[in-house]
Amino acid sequence: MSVKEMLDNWKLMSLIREFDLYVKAFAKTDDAVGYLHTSIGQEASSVGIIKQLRQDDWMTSTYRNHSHGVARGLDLYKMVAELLGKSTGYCKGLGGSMHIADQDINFIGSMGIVAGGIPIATGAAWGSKMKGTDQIALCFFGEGAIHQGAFHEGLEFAIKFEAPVLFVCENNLYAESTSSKYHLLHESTIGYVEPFGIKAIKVDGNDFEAVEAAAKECIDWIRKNKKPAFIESMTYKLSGQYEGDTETYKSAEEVEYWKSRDPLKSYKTRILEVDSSVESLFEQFEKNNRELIVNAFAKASKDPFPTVEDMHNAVYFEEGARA
Amino acid sequence: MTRQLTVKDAVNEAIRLEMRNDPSVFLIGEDVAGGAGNDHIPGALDAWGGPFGVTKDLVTEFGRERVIDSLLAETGFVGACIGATFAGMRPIAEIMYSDFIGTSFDQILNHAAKLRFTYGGKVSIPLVIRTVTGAGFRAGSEHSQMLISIYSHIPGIKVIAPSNAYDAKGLLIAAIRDQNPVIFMEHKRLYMKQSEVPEGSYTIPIGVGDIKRKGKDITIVGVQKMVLTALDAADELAKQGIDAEVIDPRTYSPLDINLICESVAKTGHLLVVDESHPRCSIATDIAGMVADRAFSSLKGPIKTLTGLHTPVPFSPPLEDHYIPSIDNVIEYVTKMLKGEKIAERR
Repeated sequence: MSVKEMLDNWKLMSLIREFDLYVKAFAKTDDAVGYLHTSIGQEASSVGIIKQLRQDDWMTSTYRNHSHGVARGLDLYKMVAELLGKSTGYCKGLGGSMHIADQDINFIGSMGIVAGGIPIATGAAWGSKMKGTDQIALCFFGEGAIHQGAFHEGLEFAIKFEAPVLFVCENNLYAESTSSKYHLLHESTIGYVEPFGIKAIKVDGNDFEAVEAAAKECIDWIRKNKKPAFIESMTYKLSGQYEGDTETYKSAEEVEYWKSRDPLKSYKTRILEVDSSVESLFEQFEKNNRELIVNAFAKASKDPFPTVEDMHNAVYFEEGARA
Repeated sequence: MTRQLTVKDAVNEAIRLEMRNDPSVFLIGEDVAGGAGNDHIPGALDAWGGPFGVTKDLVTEFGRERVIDSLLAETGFVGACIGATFAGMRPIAEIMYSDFIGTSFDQILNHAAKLRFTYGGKVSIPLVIRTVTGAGFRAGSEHSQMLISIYSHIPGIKVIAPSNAYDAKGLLIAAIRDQNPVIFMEHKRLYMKQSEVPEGSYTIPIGVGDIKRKGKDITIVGVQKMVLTALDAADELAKQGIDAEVIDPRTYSPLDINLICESVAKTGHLLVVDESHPRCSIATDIAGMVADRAFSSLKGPIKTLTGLHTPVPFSPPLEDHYIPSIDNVIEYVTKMLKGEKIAERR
């Protein structure tokens, strides 16, 4: 891979980081509305996997979707507008931060219900196969979703009916405030999927190059074999379950350890190993990214809220239909 | 010569015509074909056609690729059907009994019903969920429920519960062509009832009720099989000189409340008959809407005649007691018109 490509990857990871750092600060202000879930620390996992998708592939995410949206190339301004409940947002302000999506590029949706998107992503891949296209689906969820029936039923459906879907469990060590040491019955979520006989890889989700290699391998395999595969991407959320979470359940040692494994830091070190002359660029990237986000917030904050008619028109396909 | 068809065959014909008409329509559910995995045995293909044989002979025409025996996992296949709509498919998912909806309810409540709204009206989910409803089959508490008010409570889905073969065919074709998620209820005690059904495709608009019997003295609204109970009671009441109007709403979301209010404006009396449980039901919903919108039309109190606040019992005399009867309707109507007190059914 060229240094330029590596720098592009880092720049995109930094854009996610800056987006969520801004959201984190914004959450403390009086202008913030609703539940905000940031993905700080999970950037390598998102970019490394999403980068491998084809333009027409399907994707679903969860309420922790900012990293997936930015990595998929969503318009920052329309994302911010959605966070603010404005009519110019991706969902006309009817969805909010938990539901960032853009169906125009086959980003089906971000589900607020844990594991809710797993059967749906499966169905999109399965439906495409019935239609005779070779699109695949990428389905993100956290390790807390492993316990849901929807996970087991979706996975089993995908295997039984050979849906070409990549399931990605971003194991960030916490299901809300509950440690995976407590809630997982196995050392790893791989233990849950092994009995299904699905192709499964466990990867260090904070190592961008390892994530990229695992995703490439799985996606190539899925396209060739037209069957599902599973990745467990081991990572850590450096912020809480939601903005406002006091995180008293995490030890200082643990947080320090994971800060030392910050995916942006480690990938930067890796890039400098390849070419030490680019060091001055990183700060510039961060500054430019920050500016993009400040501008997006400034623009979106002036936009109008959706109307009552917008709300009614969105319920049923027929304009203005009421029950 | 008019053609008579059972509700069961009308449903089958509607699915068959739409599957011929549109290659993106497919059927999935538990044993909708039957015998999967044993196709080396002559009797395996098309062994069941569902537990009531409603989807019989579809797999022989369309193959196992389009008439798919699902796993016994409603969340998995209902969710996959929602996803398949994004790829341009138009799934018909069969939930074998209405009672089994619980195991797939998150996919219906939070995803099928809300995806369009949550994403600002950008997407539509053309999914039909067919399910078998109703008591009177000696099927016990977990194979006999209606649950129609639970479905109708949720914005974003449409709810249809036809009472005869003609309506079933026209409304099911309309449901399959609709861009919204639709729950289509088929009452197990109506499957063998016959009525006149034209050949070929036709649709009945979703949201338009039907006056099944014209009358001037009282409006009786029946819910699905209770339409037949109301019609039988109306024949008996006519012998006593009481001329009842019987309305079949046919669809419960959207609900043709105007048709009911217009009828009440004419008759001045309203009885709603529904075999579901009495609380938070379609019967109380319709009664409430009429009280809200047409109170001044009323010459006496609105009454509801419903199942009981118990699960549907198995023991035959108790199940018969649970379901509103023709005699119950006659008693309610005669007492309502005389202004007499009606003892609470229990």
